[in-house]
Amino acid sequence: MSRKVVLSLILAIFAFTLDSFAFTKGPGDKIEDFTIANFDGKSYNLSEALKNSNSGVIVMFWSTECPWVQPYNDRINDYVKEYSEKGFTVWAINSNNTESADVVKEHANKNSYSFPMLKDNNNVVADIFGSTRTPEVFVISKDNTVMYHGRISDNKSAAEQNTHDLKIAVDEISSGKDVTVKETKSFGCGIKRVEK
Amino acid sequence: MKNTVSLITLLFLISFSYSQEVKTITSIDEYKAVVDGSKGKVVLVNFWATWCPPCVKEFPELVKLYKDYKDKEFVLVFISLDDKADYDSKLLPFLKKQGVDFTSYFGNFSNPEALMTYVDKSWQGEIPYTGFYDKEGKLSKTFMGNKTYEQFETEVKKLLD
Repeated sequence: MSRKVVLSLILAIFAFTLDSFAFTKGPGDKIEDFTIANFDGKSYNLSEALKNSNSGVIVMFWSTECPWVQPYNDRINDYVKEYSEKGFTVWAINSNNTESADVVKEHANKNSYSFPMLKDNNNVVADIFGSTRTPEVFVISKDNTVMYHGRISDNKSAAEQNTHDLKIAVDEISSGKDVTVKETKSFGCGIKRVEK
Repeated sequence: MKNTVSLITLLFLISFSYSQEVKTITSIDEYKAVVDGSKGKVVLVNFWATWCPPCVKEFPELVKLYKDYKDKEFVLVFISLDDKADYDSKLLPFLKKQGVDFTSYFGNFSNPEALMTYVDKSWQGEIPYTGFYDKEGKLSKTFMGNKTYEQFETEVKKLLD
């Protein structure tokens, strides 16, 4: 087989997988360090947060518009309180290039979020995680290992929710147990990325 | 009187010439039946919703693609992920406005996660999501995020050849 044919095959496989975001971080993966200089004047650095937390860091990719995110607004503060009590630092990150820092700030104020809402300009952090949608959650242990990746719960509506998957994972990690379900999926809004 | 009867007849014919059928699918088996039912043809499946701006942006491109290729062993399967509450108020009027005069689908899946994994293991659930099935019914290409007419057409042409 000629080098040209081999190269074409490799390119074809790459082209097939490229649109599938095969690079999304999952259980067992490490997360490259990052810092967000946020609109609130503070700087948020992953390795610092991991060092200062008791159990790890939870990153929730978020949106001001997505209809799969908004139904959580009525209960996300309660959820974050539960995760925080288990020793986790919780950040929501907005990586949509269609939602400005001002819009994100206003949305956070309007919903009285009790956790930092971070603006990820040019989706740099979303690219590090390979995050594809909102809502999408990553739980990172103190030694910088993804322990859980996926949804918050099995339904965006509180009334129809049966499993609170993120809480189950958080409880297991903080109790020193293995996470039973390390990865889940849910429908969500694709992150609107900048052209790079 | 004669004019009134003609007008009523005309309106009647117009309403029937516009056939907007939306079938609900709830399971993997039903999804499989939709795709397998078109074996021998190229099938493009598009998961979308009226509240999803990138989906709405690419929607007319897909409708045009369907109209350009419907006589060439090509099937377009729209699967809406709108909320049940928006079915009559948003979904149906949108389909009508976009000129969708072929069967499309409303996804009310009992186990969305299992469906996603069945469709494509790497799909985490973001929409718009488009899958291209070849004539043997095998998923051969996927798109995530909105695309252009040319991008859709390129893949369809490849699979039709």
